Amino acid sequence: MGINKRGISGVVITVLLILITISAFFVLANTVVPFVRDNLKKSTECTPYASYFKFQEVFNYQGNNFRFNCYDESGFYGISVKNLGTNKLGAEEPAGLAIVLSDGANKNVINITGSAEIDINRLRMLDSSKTNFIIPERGGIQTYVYNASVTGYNSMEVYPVLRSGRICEKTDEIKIIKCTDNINLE
Amino acid sequence: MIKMMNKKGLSPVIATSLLVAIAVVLALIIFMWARSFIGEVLQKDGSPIEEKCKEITFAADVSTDGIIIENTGNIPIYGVELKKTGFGTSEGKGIFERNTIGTGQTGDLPIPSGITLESDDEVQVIPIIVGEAGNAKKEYSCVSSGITAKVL
Repeated sequence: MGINKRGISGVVITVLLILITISAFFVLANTVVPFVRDNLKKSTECTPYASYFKFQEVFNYQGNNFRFNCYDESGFYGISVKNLGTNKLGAEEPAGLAIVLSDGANKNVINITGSAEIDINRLRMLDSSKTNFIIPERGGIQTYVYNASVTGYNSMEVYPVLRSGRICEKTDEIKIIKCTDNINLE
Repeated sequence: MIKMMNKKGLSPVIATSLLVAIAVVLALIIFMWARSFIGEVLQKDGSPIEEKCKEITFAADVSTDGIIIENTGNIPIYGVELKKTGFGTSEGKGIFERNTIGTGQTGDLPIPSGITLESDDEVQVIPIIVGEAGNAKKEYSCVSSGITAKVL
């Protein structure tokens, strides 16, 4: 008796299977694929910036050497950064950089964003006539002055900040020395 | 019951072909998709372009009228990028001229528009070479091979 029962016809089952396949394809295309793509992008977006910013330890100008990564007695800190980025395919210029000053126990994070307006009492370009921050371009160097009002920070680190707001891994660190007489940060 | 047993299914050859076709299509889709996440590698003469940068040697005479580049190495120089050095700064984005200077050749490049040089200014001269990424040719600035010159 059961054997003689009729099931769904071959045509109907085929149409159903095709519909289910198409539905599954669209669900995958609209949810799973963007999800995986976004996560993959996040995990790889910092790769081109692995050694992007470096502290310029010695700056040679007009035959003299200057060590701008230094502090003075008033609590001003010089920060000199070189962009060692390459024109890697698909990599865009970062939005800015983050500097972390450290005294061993405490850390102070300074964000420098390209084109942002300067707060002259806190953080500025070494050239005090500049009104907006400049991020060093590929091969270029820029020097900043940070007024911490305190001495004691003995090292700093630099991190690229992407346009997405993401802060990438540290690309360099340097010991901060006392400024020599040929550097005036005030 | 006997009737059901005699029902024909898909032939093994067609089933196998279908499975192989599905697998190939899936593999192609995944490959095309994953390829976009892997950055293209810029090469020159089969080597990573960064390695070729190390082989560049050149001399630069910069004056307010132009730049004379003497290519003393084995890598053709496609152009140069100029960065004007100030006190604590070195800047000048995308300033270069295209004029390939081959091995042992000397090339005369004009000072590009957008940069003003005066005598005794200091500039950084960064060589640009051409690499290949797949079938496309791309310019590459050899930042680490840049030299400092004084404007005459």
